[in-house]
Amino acid sequence: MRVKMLILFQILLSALPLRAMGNSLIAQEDSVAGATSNEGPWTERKILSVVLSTVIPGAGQTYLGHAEKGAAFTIGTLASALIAGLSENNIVGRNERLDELKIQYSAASNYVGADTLWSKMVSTKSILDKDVRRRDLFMKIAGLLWVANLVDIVLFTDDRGEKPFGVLETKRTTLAIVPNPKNGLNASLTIRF
Amino acid sequence: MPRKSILFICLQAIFLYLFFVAGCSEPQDLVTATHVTRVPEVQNLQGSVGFTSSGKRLILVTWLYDPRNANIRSWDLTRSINDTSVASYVPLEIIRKPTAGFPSYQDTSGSLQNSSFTADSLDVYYKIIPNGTDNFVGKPSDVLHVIIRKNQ
Repeated sequence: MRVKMLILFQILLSALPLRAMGNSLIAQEDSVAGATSNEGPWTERKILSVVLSTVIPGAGQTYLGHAEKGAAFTIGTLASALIAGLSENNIVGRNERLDELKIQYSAASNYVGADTLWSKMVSTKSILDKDVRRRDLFMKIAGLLWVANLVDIVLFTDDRGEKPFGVLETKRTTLAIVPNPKNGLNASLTIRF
Repeated sequence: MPRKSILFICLQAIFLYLFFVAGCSEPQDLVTATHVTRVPEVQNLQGSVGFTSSGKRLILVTWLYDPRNANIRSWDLTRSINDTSVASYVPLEIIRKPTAGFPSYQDTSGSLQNSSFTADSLDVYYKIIPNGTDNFVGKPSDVLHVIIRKNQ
């Protein structure tokens, strides 16, 4: 229930600035062409990139044309969060195992059996503590990457301009997918000899 | 920087904190180990070889325990002859808690007498297991090794 509420909160949160941005874009379209914006360096693309980076670290950098930096932030943060999540999952499992062992230990009727259970509990607790340390470490790394990603998108990432969607370019080939003004999409492959 | 962006970042930070940090499980602590001191441990297990007034060979086994721990009803005395494997220990006697002093056991069984000897000496091993008043079987004692010789 709590998780569902948080996810709902996240969806609402994500929708809020995009909606505001949409209204702002409509207002701009309605305004006289050539009018200057009073937002300074904060263009719509920059604001959208901040929003994207807030939700998915690195997405804003990629949006502004810094694909490598964006990918580094995205992979770094998601990998750290994944490791933290797996560790958390292990913690839940080991807590349940400890509960089970505690019940068996309290019901043990002889020293030998109780001592075996005690050894298992000590070993489980030791692994649990390692999992907790790993989770905390990677959660901090993910948090730091998230903050660094925001600092980077706000202060250090400039806009390299809009690129057509779906353009893959190498030294000799170019693959582009561009919208057709009439209908659908056009795909073009260029090979240079 | 637009206010809406700042607000959005703050709200997102709160969300991330609630989802990831506050939602984390706390590790459970271990319970206190009660099995070690639940039943008093057998201490200072000793054995001495002698003869009864009728000339039979006797091994006197004595041990101590902590009388402050009242959770003791009896001790199971087990014995093994010429064999140290765990399975070879045979229950010999149940020794009740004495009303005063410390427990002891006099072993004068036929297998210890000269007539039963097949070799020049006999290795006798004793192990004592305490039993609590709550029926908890305590920690087995260390093994007491007694060597008896045929002409001793």
